[in-house]
Amino acid sequence: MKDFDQQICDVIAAEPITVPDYVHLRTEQLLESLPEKVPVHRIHLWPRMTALAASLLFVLLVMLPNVSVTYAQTMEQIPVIGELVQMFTIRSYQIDQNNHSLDVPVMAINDPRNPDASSLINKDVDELTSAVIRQFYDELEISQGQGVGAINIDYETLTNTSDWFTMKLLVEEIRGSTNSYARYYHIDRTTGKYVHFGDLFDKADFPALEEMILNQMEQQMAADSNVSYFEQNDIPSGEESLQETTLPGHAFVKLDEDQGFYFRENGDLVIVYDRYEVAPGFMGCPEFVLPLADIQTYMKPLHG
Amino acid sequence: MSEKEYFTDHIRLAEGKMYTLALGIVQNEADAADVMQDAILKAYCNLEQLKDRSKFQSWILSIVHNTAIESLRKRRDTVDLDTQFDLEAPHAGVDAATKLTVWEAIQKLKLPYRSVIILFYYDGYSVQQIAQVTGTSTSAIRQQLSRGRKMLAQLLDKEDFDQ
Repeated sequence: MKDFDQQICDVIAAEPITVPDYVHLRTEQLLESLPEKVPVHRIHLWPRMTALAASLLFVLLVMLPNVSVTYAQTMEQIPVIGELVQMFTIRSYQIDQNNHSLDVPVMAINDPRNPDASSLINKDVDELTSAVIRQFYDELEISQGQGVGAINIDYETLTNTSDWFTMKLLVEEIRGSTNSYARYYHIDRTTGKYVHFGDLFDKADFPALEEMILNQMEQQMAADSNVSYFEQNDIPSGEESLQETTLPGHAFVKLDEDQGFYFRENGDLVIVYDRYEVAPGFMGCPEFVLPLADIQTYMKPLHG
Repeated sequence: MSEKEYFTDHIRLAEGKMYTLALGIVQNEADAADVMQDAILKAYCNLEQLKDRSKFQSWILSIVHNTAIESLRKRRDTVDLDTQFDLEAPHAGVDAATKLTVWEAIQKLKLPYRSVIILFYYDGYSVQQIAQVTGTSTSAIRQQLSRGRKMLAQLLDKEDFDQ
């Protein structure tokens, strides 16, 4: 067996497991973002906390609840910072190499009242940003440094009240042409639910909403010849069967349970499509406002 | 040297071992990366619990090991820590004509043999050190190591491997 052990060790020495670049980068980013250690007792001297202690508290509040249930239970003993949802950049990836650049901050949220929903959103954001970073490295490898490419991510808080929270994450990809898409993350702070479009409406009511969107498309195109949305005959031949449309012969507007949306202050619903999803690229990411009065009868009750 | 500097320096030194162990347990890069992130955060927040600073590496690998196992449990993977490996029959799915690399063969082992083998061969850890990392007794580690090596030899078709 000693000979076997030696053979194994020799093979391992010749073929070690290497840490992938993106994993090493994530580690370095995390290490750099760690706050300096402060004496534990100072954390309890709220509100006389120094900036250093506060930053460690931010790490504990934002990062650890998403890491381990054990730490989340410990968090209950720490005073709540405030009632509104806080957003933090927990790490940031910035690369500029061979005419390819990456600028991806990874945000995390903390809703003091709804840590479970916060954790779910943070997990989704982490998965999306990780996928974007992997895509960047894959494309860098394929292009072998040729050409130009860039990926940027930006965040915006659209709503942050005692009842509702919405964060927008915008991804912009530049490779010759520009592609962009947005993802929206919502917390119904009254129920603590991480809300998706399918939680707002029954699937059976989607066609009614699609009809409203279609009407707006037709009105816009009639009013302005520069406005253009896809129609059924724009879909390449042979692909129609892959995509259902509830309105044959008309624009492709099908909603799904993860449709991008957000609410305006007055309660009107805004439906958002990705670039190229329902219109040519020059139309950007089209948005359609569905007045609250028009959609109220279709909305599922969210509270109680 | 500040606590942060001490910690980050030692994490950088241990990064390769941390990744190898995490990858060996969760068996995919993305989850291994997540395990490393989680383990680093847990370790930093509990750094004051490490009394003997010379034991940093085995301490952080212990955190990585536990975090990786927890990650597997959350994925509801088949993690049967009591499963006995059939030493008489070839492992299902292993083509006798296909020569596996050492890493591929280790990936075919079930836990806890997989993690014990990685710590033994890749990290050069002793039985006692492996017991500390995995939180198991040395006698259990000796048994797991013995069985793991036999299974590994079988997977690698030791005669071919000797050649």
